[in-house]
Amino acid sequence: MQIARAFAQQAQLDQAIAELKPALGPDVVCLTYTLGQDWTGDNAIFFRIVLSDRASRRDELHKATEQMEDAIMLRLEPLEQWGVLPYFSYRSQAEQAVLQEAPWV
Amino acid sequence: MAYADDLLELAKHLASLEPVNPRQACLRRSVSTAYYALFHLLISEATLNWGRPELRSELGRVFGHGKMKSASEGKRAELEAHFKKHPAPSPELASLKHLHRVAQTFIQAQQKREEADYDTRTEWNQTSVQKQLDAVAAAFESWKPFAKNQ
Repeated sequence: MQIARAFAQQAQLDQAIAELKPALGPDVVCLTYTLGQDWTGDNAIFFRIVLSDRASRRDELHKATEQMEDAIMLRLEPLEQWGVLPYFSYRSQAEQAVLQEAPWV
Repeated sequence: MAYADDLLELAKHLASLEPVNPRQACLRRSVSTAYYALFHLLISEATLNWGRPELRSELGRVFGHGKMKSASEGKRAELEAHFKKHPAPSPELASLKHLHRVAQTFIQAQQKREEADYDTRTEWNQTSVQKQLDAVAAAFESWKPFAKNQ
């Protein structure tokens, strides 16, 4: 079975994501990811995004996160270029300050 | 469609039940319920035209979660390939973008439902839950042009 490019070329994936981050704007305070499998066993990339307090506001959250996801899908093409399905999780800066969970920073 | 609407309303209620230090049980059930709201919205639409009304609920049970994921992935990929050709703006294009939103949201919601129901390693937070609720609510709106019983 062929290994997905994301797993085989993780250094290149790191680089592609590092180059992508500035384009996402200041509302993305931190962007990390892990590779794995989703609930059906398909290869997946799990993005974890810490949002600015502005983007975390109730009236901004949906629009801001939708724009981030669209930008990541368009620029990175996770499935087409890297063979992984993208999934997204979010925290606000305030939530991150309380939790301080290592994989998110 | 009323059952799906009720599930979405319940999901929102669960998320707001404890505004300060919400328990994981409330946040996780909210995410799971939001997924089932979207799931039941889509399968109820699919079974509406079944010629034998008394068997519609049985037909609905044929729609497995895995098969629906595969169908959504296929539709999403097909639509994204079409969008890359930069088609001219049109009412049809707008409809296709709504359909893309529904497919994309369904795929995300399934994974979140699995994580909420079974993965106890990570803590859910209000931002992620609210994001999921907003996305599913937007998918309900995007589905309206395709709904049969409008």
